[in-house]
Amino acid sequence: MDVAEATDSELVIAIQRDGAGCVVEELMRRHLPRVRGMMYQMALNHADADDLTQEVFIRAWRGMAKFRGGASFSTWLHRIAMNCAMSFLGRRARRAAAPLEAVPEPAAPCGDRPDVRAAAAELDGRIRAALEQLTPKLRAAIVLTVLQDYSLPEAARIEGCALATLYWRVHEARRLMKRSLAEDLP
Amino acid sequence: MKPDPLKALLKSWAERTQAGDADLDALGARIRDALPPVSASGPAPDEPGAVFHPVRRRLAAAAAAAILLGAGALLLHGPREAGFPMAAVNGAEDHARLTAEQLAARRILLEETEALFADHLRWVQLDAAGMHLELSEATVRPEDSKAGLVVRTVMLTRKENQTDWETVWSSDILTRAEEYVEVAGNTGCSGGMELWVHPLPDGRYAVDLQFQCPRQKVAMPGETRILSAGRPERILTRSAGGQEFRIYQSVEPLANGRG
Repeated sequence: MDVAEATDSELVIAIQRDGAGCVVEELMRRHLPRVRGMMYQMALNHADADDLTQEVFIRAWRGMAKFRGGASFSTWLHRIAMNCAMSFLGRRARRAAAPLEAVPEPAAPCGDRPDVRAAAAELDGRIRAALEQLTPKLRAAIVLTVLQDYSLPEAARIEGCALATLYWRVHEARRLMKRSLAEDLP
Repeated sequence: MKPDPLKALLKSWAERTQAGDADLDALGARIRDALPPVSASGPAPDEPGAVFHPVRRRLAAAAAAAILLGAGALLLHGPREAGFPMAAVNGAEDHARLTAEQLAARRILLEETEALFADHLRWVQLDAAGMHLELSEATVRPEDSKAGLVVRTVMLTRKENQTDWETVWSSDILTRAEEYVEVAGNTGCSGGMELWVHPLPDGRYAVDLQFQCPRQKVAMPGETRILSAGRPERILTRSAGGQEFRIYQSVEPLANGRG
């Protein structure tokens, strides 16, 4: 089998059959960036996003034998990811978590001029604060549909909820985000 | 297509905050090291303890106090007065309606329990089996405190040729708006419940419920219902084996609570 050309489903079947290590590598290469991005958008913290991403892949690996292809591998993996993120956010809410503002995340470089970098860092801080204000379910709705470009039916499948419920969550999350970021939107 | 400024703003933020190639390589290596060894028979079966599990930290003292409180509440009110009628009645939605007395009792219970646990309380659940609660290690900051409310969820059943309904399971959750409530499957027929209430600007509530009752083979996927205070709504109907099941839900603010 040409690993690079194989579909996700073909790779999963290969893993279920003989656990080929190079196949695992290929699946991780394909999905790691998106899962890591999604975990950052949920956790809003790079260290937690790394831990969550690791947890997602370990859980996926352990559950691989049960994957039957009813959904696409990507949808299945992202459902595991969202479950991990929701559990994590629940745990974090139960701990004495410091406000995110007190743990500033380094802004990614986006220009040489210090004033541009500073402005971007301030904007990023406002966006993170706006996302942080959303409850985990509303944040998941906006992460899946706006940032990860899932359709509403796909996002509902990942969230394990009714389509109407997902539609409502997206609507409410967008309303709250627009209110928080009113000064940054035209 | 209509431009979406919010999406554009969030997308540019996502690009700026995504991990670089070197970081992803390092993370990939870390994950590969953490994965169980590959065997000829594919992935190893689940092994407890290999993945860090959420530890539901409940204080032992709180558990003991909860038992005492629960026993006290049941002694004072009894199951019927606490709102869990066991006999059949006709009006199905009446099971989910809270009386003024019940509301007053629940408001006092929430306030007293919060005072007792010095703002560590996340939620209280009342059902026919007693009272359960969950505490947070962190105190609820005053600025984070939301309005108190009670959500009643009732599962009823009747045979298809009968008119009267019987309560299979009933639960009152006392909590604050926006609190994410996860109740373990340890009460009556409940195989676990997740609940989340979000107040809407028009005074109604979006109530998100996920519920399972393995004993009766009834499962409700996560769905949001828009409820008006004090007006029970039917949220699920199922028929199986000549038996009909319904789930009703109502939400009421606990107006004089903190917040």
